[in-house]
Amino acid sequence: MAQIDPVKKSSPLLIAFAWLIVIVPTAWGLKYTVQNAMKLFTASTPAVAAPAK
Amino acid sequence: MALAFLDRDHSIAPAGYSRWLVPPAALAIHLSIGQVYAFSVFKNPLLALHGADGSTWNLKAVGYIFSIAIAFLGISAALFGAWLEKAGPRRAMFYAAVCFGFGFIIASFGASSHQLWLIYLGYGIVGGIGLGLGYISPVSTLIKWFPDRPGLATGLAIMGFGGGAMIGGPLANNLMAYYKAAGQPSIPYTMITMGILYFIFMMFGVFTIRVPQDGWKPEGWVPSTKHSALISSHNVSVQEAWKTPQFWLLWVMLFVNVTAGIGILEQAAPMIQDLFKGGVSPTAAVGFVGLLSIFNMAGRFFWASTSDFIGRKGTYFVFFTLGPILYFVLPLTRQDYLNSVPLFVGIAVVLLSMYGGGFATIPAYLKDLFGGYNVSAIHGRLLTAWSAAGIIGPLIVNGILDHYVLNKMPKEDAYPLILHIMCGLLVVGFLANLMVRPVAERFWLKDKNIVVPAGAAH
Repeated sequence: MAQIDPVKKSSPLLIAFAWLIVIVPTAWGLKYTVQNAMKLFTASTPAVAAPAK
Repeated sequence: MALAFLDRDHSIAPAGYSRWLVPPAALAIHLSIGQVYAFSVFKNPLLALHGADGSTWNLKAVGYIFSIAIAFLGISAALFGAWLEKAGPRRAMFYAAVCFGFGFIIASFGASSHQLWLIYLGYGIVGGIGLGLGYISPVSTLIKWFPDRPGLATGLAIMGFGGGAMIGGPLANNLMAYYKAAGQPSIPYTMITMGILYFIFMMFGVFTIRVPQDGWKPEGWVPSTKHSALISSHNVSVQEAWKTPQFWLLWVMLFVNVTAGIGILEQAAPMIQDLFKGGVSPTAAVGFVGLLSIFNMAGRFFWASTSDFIGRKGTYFVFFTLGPILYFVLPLTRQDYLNSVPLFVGIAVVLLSMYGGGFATIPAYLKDLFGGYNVSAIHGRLLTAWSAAGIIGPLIVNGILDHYVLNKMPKEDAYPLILHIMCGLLVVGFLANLMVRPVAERFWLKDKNIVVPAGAAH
């Protein structure tokens, strides 16, 4: 019987780790940008009185 | 040979290597070099520096740092594209990392000794060469790994360039604040830290990138026999490509699309405040710029992946039909006409998504027309359109604004003229896209000894 040479496939964990390496800094930067962008919707609205403590 | 591990032969993927490891490698490079769009965070700190004799730098002189970097991006992409095809993506990415990281280090000496020429040399020239090499290095590799979805693949990488500013901006701000609080020279230390961090991050890309074996195809994928006549089954070398009318039509399309985008980007914050006097605070204007960055990035992925379904010509058809209409309507939303901030913001973000989409869709358009053989080199030469737009766009915008200010005319009246010029430019792009036809047979690669299919020429 002929032997089939097994092909070693890339581990799904390795793929997930590679994506994490680029997603984590992107998400960190996106958080700052979204916070900045939110100022467009909050800065123009009249200031709301701070709730009494 | 030293550094032989960078050779193309050493980066051929073994059987079973997942193609989904390649986009993160490309993203690591593009997310790093995209920092250039956040260089403005260094502007005010650099202006505040004093030399030993008490001298300071002016805004114009500091502004040249970014311009030099972008100019060298275009020049190096055009010059080294053909070399990259032979050397392979890993070597090109490595040199990109060295140039970009070392550029920061040289610039840090310029900041600490208050010598602007060192910053021009470091961040502008050396770093700019790193930008050009890094920008084009993963393109043809991605196209070869994703012959079924070239738009999605290149869109993912080029989206990273848009996202790079989102990381680079807060990273620089946080580092400068940290070093300042620690009583250290904030700009030089920040630049050194960023140079090292980006070098390490780009090395992840260098060691992860793989080229597919010759003849590799995605499992179960059969190339469609029914496709647009614009998708060539032949290849055109870089030496021939730029003699074709198609190359120059695409050059014009990229040029007008980038110039039009600069029409908004160059003056985004002051524009929204001038058009809605008293209606938009400076803080809200900063938020508007942030929103534009998000859509610029998202548009790169959205439009490039959409182009896999509606075709590249179809995608640019949308840009050049919807774009002129929106550029025409945009100034009509101002205070003394429709007076609608939400409409202004809504239109601007769609336009910026198409600006980013134009960058991200062009490599797949090139691949369709010229084949995958020399696509990185051809892309490199096409990026001179970006450099040209980077000079012409601000000249139009700032020239008109200066004219209005010098003649004591209301500044808000300058914006309709600027935006309507951009509208006209996009009509030129529409005509160019309409004229794109398949590349004539006389330009096809005829050397039968050259192996052309999927894995060839890196």
